[in-house]
Amino acid sequence: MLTPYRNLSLVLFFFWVNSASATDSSNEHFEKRVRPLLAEHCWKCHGSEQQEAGLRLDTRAGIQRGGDSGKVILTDTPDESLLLRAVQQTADLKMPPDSKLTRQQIADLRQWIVEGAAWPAGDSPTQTPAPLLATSPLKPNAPQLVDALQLWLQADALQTENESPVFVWPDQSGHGRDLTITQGVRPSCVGTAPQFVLVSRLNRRPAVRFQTGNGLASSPDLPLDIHGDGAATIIVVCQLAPGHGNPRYDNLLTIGNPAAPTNPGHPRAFYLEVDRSTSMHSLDFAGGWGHDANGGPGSAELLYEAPHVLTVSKKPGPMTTGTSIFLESQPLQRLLGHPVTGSAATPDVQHRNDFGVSIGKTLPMFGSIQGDIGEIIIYNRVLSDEERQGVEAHLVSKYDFLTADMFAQATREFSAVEKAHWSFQPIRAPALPAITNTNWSTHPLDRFVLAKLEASGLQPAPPADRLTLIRRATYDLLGLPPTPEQIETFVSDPQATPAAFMTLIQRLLDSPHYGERWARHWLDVVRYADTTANDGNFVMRYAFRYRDYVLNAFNQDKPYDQFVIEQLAGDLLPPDDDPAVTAQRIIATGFLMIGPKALAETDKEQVKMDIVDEQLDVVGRSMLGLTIACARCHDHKFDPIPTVDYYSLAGIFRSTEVFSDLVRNASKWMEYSIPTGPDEPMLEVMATRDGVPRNLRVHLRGNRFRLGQIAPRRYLQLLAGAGHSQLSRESSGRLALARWIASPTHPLTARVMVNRIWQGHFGRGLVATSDNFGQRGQLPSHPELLDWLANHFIESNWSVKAMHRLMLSSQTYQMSTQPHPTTAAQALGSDPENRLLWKSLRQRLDAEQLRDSLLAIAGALDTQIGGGELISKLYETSEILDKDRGVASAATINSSWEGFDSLRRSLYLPVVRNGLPDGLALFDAADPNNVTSVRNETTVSSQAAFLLNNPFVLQQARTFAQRVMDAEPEEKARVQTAYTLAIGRPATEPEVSTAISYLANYRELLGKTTNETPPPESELELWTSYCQLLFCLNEFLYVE
Amino acid sequence: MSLRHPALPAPSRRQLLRQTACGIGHVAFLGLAAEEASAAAGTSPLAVRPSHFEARAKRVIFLFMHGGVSHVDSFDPKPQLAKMNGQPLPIPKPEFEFAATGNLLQSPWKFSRYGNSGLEVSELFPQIGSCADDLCVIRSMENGNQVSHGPAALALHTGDGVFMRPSMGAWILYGLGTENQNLPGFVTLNPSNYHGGSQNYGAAFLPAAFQGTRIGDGSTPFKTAKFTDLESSRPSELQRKQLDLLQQLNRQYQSTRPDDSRLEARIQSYELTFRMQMEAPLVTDFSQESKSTHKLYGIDEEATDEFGRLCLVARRLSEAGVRFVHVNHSYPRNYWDAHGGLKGNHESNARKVDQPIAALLKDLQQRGLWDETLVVWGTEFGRTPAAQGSDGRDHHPHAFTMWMAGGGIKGGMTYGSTDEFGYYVAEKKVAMHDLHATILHQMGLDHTQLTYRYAGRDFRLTDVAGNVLEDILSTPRTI
Repeated sequence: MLTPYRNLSLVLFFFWVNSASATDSSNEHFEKRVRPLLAEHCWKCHGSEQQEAGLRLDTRAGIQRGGDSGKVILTDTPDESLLLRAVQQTADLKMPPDSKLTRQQIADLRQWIVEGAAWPAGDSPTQTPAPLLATSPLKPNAPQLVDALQLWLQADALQTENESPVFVWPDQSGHGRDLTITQGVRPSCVGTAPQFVLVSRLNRRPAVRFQTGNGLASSPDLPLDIHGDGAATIIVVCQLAPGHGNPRYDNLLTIGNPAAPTNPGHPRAFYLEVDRSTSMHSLDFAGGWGHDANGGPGSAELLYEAPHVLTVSKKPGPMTTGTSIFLESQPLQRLLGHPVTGSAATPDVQHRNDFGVSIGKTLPMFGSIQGDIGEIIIYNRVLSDEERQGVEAHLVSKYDFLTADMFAQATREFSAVEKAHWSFQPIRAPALPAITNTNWSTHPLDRFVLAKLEASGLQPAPPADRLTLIRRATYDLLGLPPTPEQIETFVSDPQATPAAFMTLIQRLLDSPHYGERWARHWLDVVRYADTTANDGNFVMRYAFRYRDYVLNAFNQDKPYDQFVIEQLAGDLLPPDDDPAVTAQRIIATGFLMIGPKALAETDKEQVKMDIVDEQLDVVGRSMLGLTIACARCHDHKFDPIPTVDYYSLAGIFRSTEVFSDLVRNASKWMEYSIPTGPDEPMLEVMATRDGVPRNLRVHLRGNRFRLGQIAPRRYLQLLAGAGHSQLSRESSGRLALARWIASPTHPLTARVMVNRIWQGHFGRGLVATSDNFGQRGQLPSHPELLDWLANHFIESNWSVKAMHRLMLSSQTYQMSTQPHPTTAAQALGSDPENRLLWKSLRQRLDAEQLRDSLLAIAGALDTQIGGGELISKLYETSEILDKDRGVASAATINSSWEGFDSLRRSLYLPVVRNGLPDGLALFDAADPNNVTSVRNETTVSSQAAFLLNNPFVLQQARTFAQRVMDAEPEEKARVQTAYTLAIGRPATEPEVSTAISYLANYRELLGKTTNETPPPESELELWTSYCQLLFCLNEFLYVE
Repeated sequence: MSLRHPALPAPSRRQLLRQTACGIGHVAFLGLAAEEASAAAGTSPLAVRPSHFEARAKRVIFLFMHGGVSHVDSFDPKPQLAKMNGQPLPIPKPEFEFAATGNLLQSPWKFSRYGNSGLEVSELFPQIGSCADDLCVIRSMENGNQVSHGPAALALHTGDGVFMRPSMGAWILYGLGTENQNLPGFVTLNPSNYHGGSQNYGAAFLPAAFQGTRIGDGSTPFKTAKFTDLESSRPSELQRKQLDLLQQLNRQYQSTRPDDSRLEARIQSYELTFRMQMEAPLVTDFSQESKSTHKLYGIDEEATDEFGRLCLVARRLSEAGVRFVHVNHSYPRNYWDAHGGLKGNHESNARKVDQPIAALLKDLQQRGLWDETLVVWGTEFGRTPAAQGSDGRDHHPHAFTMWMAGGGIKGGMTYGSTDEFGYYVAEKKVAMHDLHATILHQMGLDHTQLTYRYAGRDFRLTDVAGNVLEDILSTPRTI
């Protein structure tokens, strides 16, 4: 305990471990033996261009800092150096990956490390950060520590209401040294109960909050096993507030029998306290009165600024030489003894029968420290550095600490090559290119296309005719065939084709069926489904609200930036005046909820991390065109996404709750009720909530049991640029991430979305790999056009409908699938894949277009928009396992479930993971277990078998036949009607006569002659066979 | 694979044009088999593709025992369990268990030595035991920490318990195509809807053409099961009439669009379907098989009828050139998941499959199909050597048994071992990726080369792992 002193010249500072000094001979050894082998075998992957696993072996700083696995050289224990073990190839990690160093090379490397790993000048000397940053966490009661564990208090173990007094703080060391306000302290010293705080200053973790009069003590019957000049390690997680007034000694912790000023020189206890007896706030560890290890003036102030892990380690002997004090593993250098006497006397800890260990107020002359204590751990020995750092690392993770060093450690530099990738550059504002043929089009989009064609000597295809245009545009925008009436209206529109076509487009965009079509595109990308997949395949009853949110977003032309923000963080936006709007934003976070979930997995942390991975994959590929999930186990192989970035983003989502209950085998995802209006009933939704914010550690090779450095929550470093700081510690950071993604200056977001819209119309994106804009993605065929469109998109307030109008009004969209005759052969030869857009691509109806068309043509389609009736039906026909919690297993639902025969549009069929209806699965519908940006297009016989024999198809053919028969009494007219309904054009004369003769032959085969009136069911079968045949036509299945 | 695969989207138009210029439409009209024509056109994703190296086997029959067959009661005898019956396991239990288990439980069944090899098989499987000299029993299987059926079954079938990956059969079909274009190349018989469901025979991100074609499901008797949509909806001559007009109109449409190979492929697909409608029922209808064959498989015997039918259809499909046949003894009607009543459960299940499986092995041999057919018998995990309740065993992915036979695999041997309790693998651990690598190797495929580009990276059945089990191959490993 410190008496007043006035020596203000002493300052506190942190010291760094000095790198080993290098001798000349070891320099020579390095230059001759070591540097060449590093250069030859290591630098390709761990050098200036690439830093695999965050490791650089070409600079002194890099080699000392280490990588994701931590330090790679340990000069004190050279044989444990990861670098050495890796090249010896005796451990998991074997380097170099495809060969092995010679015995001599390994010996050279070892010698270099043994001699201190000297790195000669030419590369600035650097400091080695504290080893904590890369230490593997150790629980306080880990096997190697448990025998020494004397006391373990954890605030988060208290089962107490927020802000209620703490009368008992249970000890979890196993010794039963619970602290209470009643025992152990002499009556004159009894403290009052501190308070439990659920969301404390310790990064929002639970803590016990002490005011100056508060105090707790353990039973004198169970004294700690620390006696005499005993060794001890005390670890405290706390954040303190400055104390005021008297008494001027603020006690944090006492072990043993507090001595009094009346018996100086007779220490009886350890004290850990803040000494304000001068005007300085010094952190002091005393072995009784006048036996000090003092941190010096102002040292306690460090504990006022932020939460800290404070460790005091005392080995036998005098206080100053025997004590070490650490904050986050950084030692406080030069502890002072008693400033007046200089005493660093040896302590003599004794227990008296009225004292054990106490926290806070102990004697009348002591107050309590003020502030929040999360955890106190006491051992009766000095932990080894590795053990101590392990426990500290555990606490750093548990309490989500982040120091500037940790942040710096996680920060990467990127090479010029990495930074130069096209899609990471700001969106440019390209000028319209010059063109020669000014007659073709004045549309700016067409100028970009034509300029490329002209440069290749190609001509654009002639314009498509009106019949082709209306079928193309109607399928594109509504996913349905045009009706004969709509065709007639358009074909006979007296306006010129461009104007008539714009009228048509506007009508289509105003149709509520537009949203049904374009929602489906987005739902492919975001792996929408109504069941969880895996073991139980549980029905997610409220997922459809997200589906309808997407539907409405497209119909209402919700600005895309807003669409992005709401899906990622709608629950975190400030509430709108209209509760219905707020409700929609919350529902939007279904985006993060609808993925597959392995709920039966026993390892629940693994379940959560797999969901985070799945969320990152979707966010990356849907919104950014980046395959972020590739960086889960190692740095991304191709793109500048280090693993630490993956875990930075993963921390954001791991700080987001998607479960309400993780009981084994019946884990339940988050569902809750929200208001939608003053007189409206509450609405059950499936949506996220923000959880406790936390930073994750890098999971080495994706293994959550092998942890590396801390990954502060933040954005992708390369894109966010230098100087990007950590996200708010007050929340997950999800809303900030959403706003960053939706920013008009983000180089990827607008480009990725306009490319998706383009793909939706032209059959292929300008970037063909529409979810991968990285190194392994394809380059844009028209980079300037892509940027021009992205700019236009942002300037149109991110209006998707504006983009449709823009694209569809172009001549490029309106081209025929038949190329311009004069350059057709040349085009086919030089650009067989039509990357330059010299014609339109013929597109096959996708699965939903096909099924919806069968229903529409048959006249059977139920055109109701939105709603969850079929989902309710799915729930009710599933195996209900827990009615109260709404858990039902759809594992029994397969492709023949009767609900799939619904007459509603395919969008509304429940999406049962691993149980898609045949008609959709066969025609390459998106597998909802994963992101689908580009659907496969297969041509297999099972599709033909489906169209020829499936009962659903036969039923629609029969209804279609009945419709045709009802509409027209006469055969030729029936054929015409059937043609127009099915393929959007009237039949030609030869087609009609072929049909008539087919009907006659078939009728004959049916056993009837044309003379007799056949029975109605035969006639229906006859026409059914004909109508079904139309469903099998390529002209029906493909859209020109 | 390095070569462009015909099933990949966006084939080169130039390449197709060149083929069109050679007149494939014409070739088709000359009446050559459609599969040859479409293979020539590069449009059939199922056309035969060359293997990476000489294949040991042409086909796989995978017998999936759903629910988890107890290894210590079937192929991995543990006398120590009898000695220590009712006593606690003296070594630590695994960190990940499905449920709490109690003390050690001895096997209710005796083991006997069979054949020249003296391979030990329990009395659950006397008939399979009689084929002991043909079996390679792998006693050191491990399925990660997959203690639940779903992830464990997915890991067995796809190599990953969590994320969507193509199934083993789909990978093989993708790699090799199939020999008989009139039948699907990958058929799954009576698969369960549970525990991975269709993902266990799905194509995931591979083109859908490679997914398994299902006959029946785990919930309904196989006797009445058929291929989906391969039963003509109308009398054959009427359907032919309908097809004739269809093809006429489709050709007319195609004639002005000669550069679009999809149109030709689709025309062919209707013809193929028409032929499959003829052939598929013949394969699944085995009324022409001899009485003795029926008897061999135990057809019409109460216990063995169902699995006998499955095995016989599997043999017929295999014989007809189907590349991968997945035979399921599966939930909810058949299930090895003996949490309680181990004796009753395993006895009943074993009685159903023992004779049919032995029959399949013998039948393959007598028909000369043995060397080119790889038979794999497997389960998603074993069962705990410690008891669950009084008379059950819990899920146990930490050590269990599978076996392989035929197709270039050594017979009459065991591979790997477990500790004296059967709790952990003691020697030569075999992970799912190792099993998959070995199966691919026997099919002539190098598991490190069989890749598919998806979402920016090359995927493999074996991810970044997998070692071919060289010791069990009857001829030395190729790569």
